[in-house]
Amino acid sequence: MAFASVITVMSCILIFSVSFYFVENINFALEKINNSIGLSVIIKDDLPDEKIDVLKKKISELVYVKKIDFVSSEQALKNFMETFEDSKEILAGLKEDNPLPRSFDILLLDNKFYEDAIKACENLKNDGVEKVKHALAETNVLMSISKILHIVSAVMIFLLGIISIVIIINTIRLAVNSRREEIIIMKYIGATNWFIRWPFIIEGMIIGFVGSIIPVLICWPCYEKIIEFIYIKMSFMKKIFEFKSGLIIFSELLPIALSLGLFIGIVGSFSSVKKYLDV
Amino acid sequence: MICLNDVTKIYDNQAKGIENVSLSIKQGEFVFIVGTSGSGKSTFIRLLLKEVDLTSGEIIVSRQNLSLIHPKLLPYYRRNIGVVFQDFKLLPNKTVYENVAFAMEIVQASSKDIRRSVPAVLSMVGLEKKYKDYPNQLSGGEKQRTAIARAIVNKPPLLLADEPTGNLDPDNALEIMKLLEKINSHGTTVIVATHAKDLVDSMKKRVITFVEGNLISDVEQGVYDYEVAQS
Repeated sequence: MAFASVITVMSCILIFSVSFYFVENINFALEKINNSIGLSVIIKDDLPDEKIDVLKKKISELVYVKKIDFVSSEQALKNFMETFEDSKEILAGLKEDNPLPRSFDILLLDNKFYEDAIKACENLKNDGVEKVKHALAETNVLMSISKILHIVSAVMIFLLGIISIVIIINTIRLAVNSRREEIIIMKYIGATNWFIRWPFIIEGMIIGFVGSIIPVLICWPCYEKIIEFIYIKMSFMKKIFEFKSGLIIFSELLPIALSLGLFIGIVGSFSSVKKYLDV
Repeated sequence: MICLNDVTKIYDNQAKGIENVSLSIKQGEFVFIVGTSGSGKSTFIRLLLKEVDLTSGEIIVSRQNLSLIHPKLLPYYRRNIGVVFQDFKLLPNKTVYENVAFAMEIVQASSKDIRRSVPAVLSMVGLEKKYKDYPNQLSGGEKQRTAIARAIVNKPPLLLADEPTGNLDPDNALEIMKLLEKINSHGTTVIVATHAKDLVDSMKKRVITFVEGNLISDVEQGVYDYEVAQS
């Protein structure tokens, strides 16, 4: 029966661990995207170089600006060429006459300031701002998706936890039920409730520990292998999606899964034994 | 030692256990509780064990009012009572020695005391050579003697036996009764609920008869009056 309990805990913790890896990667990707969203402030062509520093200082003074980088026309062209390295005809024309303007790339402390930052930069037209290129609509969509995913993942983990506890309590109850006679005899002989409970609680802890450590240890190498497989089979993924480090997720998951496993084991055995103690 | 004052037990399903029972049992007595099935014998034993709570009245055991015992202190009360059941209630995965030692482990006796007391009590019940056997390797009489050894190993002043010979043949039943008498001779109060007429009649002990939950007769050196029990 203890084996069945371990298998049940393992199954639940395995589902939890897989969900955890999934959710962690979504959060990681969202965070990266979130951190890379910024504004591009186009500088007027006729603005003298010495006034660029003044403009940069003014933008830097906005409280929500995390980072500001000046991008010269040459740098802009270089970036453009790197992005479109396959379109040689277009690039050949651009090299002779560079139409790309000077600009500032701005990263914000938080995307909730996005709208304010756009307005503030647009108000600097007299100081040399030509226009502000932004992705406000896309950012809002992304933030909504991020919020929904956070809620969905939290609900998923909560429901999974509840289901696990219910299944495990029932499994351990079966194990305890098979020892009902032993508990009743102990009560007749004069055993205290804690004397009876301890072995079951220790058993529950061992079941919880074994049942949670195994899936966590299985998930890590499997995750690394899956990433390796994806990167080999779909090399373009390396450029568009970076997976979160398996070691980092493992180190985050291990204490959560162990605590959850031990909690489930202890609660399961405690509540299962309780039923038979009123003799 | 035991005093029941106007004790009534009505179960949750309104079934009557015992009704308006008053009696007293002195330290060192040997008492048979007799009656047909459902007469209230087992309820009497269960009340003394405080396995069930009384509905009204008062039970005093060793100067303790059972109604006033806090649930947390119940295990300590039960340590003063040895109990023997018809179905033995031995732990099947433990040997004879371990079953008896288990009762001492529960009261947190030292290993030294366990090593000293268990062989002595097994010798007393005649099982010194069977100490390594598991319950499924024992006869009915041997199982009951193991249960008795477990019940007395902590030297309780009171021994309760609920139909201890119910599953035994006449020879083994007689041996068990002799063993209980031997234990009683050392000063332990022994209360045996039974409907083994021949044994009761042969032992000439105090006999208390229950009929449908009522105490009908209480006779020193009595016999199992079948007509009274059936009345």
